[in-house]
Amino acid sequence: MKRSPLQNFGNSCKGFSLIEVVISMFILALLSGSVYAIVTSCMGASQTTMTQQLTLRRLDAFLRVTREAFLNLPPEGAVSLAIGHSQGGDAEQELVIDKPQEIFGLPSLAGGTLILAAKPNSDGTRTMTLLKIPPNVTEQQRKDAMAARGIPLLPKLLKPHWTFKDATPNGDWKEEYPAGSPRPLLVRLQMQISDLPEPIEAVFYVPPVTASTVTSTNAAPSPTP
Amino acid sequence: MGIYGFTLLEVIIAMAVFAFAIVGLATALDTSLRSALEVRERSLIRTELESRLAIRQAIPLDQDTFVLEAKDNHGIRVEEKIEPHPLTDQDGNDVPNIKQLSITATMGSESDSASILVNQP
Repeated sequence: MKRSPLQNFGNSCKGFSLIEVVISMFILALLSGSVYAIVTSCMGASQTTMTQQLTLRRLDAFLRVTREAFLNLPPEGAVSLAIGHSQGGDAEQELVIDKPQEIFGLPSLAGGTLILAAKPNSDGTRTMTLLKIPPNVTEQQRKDAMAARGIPLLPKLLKPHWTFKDATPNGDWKEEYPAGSPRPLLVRLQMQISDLPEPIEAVFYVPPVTASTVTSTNAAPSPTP
Repeated sequence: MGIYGFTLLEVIIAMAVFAFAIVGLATALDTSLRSALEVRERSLIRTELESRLAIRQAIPLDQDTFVLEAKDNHGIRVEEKIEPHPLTDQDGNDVPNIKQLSITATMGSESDSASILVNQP
């Protein structure tokens, strides 16, 4: 009987045995696995680094803008804390800044009331949002303004918490600071950001109003520090 | 015995090349993680320094040195120091009550400091 060419080829060349193929595939799998694990870790670390740097840039910008807002607060400006309710019914702190006057660098935000509210997101985090309530509005118009999307300043917040310290000597940080309270000396914001493991605490200085401040403000607009 | 395989030298060279590649990747990963941690710590330290300066604008430091340990201050150690700072005006007269406030914040292996002049009797 005539043999096929393949059968002739198989008989004339020695190939790898099964055990050699299995061992080589096992070694290849080990090497591939280790390379894959390291490359995956590198990519994960790179993504984490980029996310954290973006978060830190946002945090830095938010703190800078808020710090300047408090420093530029006009003498007639007032700061207080209100408790609002999100659409889900959760109570949320709202930092209220009355009579701001371009303190966030945007002329369109002048007049009325600015509110820094931590709006809830679907993933359980909150976004620090700047909302403007026009002057002389009805309660319904105020609710509509509060329901607006506003200007998102800092996303992915967890447990944002405002406290205040006024000019009382050795006074503790106050959890409540209703409208009509004297102007605080310090405003503290404690929070966590989901991308950062460390808790964040920022303290803002609110310059006190003095007679000379009022006089100079009446004479000319106060310069931005 | 007629089968030709890899020699010991070839296997060692191949393993060395592979090890170099793995070590390179691991080093890049480690450097990336360290850089991220360093950037994060520096940013948080700067935030802490700005907060301490804000606090000292409202509540002047009434002792020469004040230390806030990291365990009592969300992981950041703060050391504040105030000392008289000689300063003269353009006529050469001493300006009284000028002091230098130095604040050093330390977090992990990173540290940064800020220093300002304050008018404090």
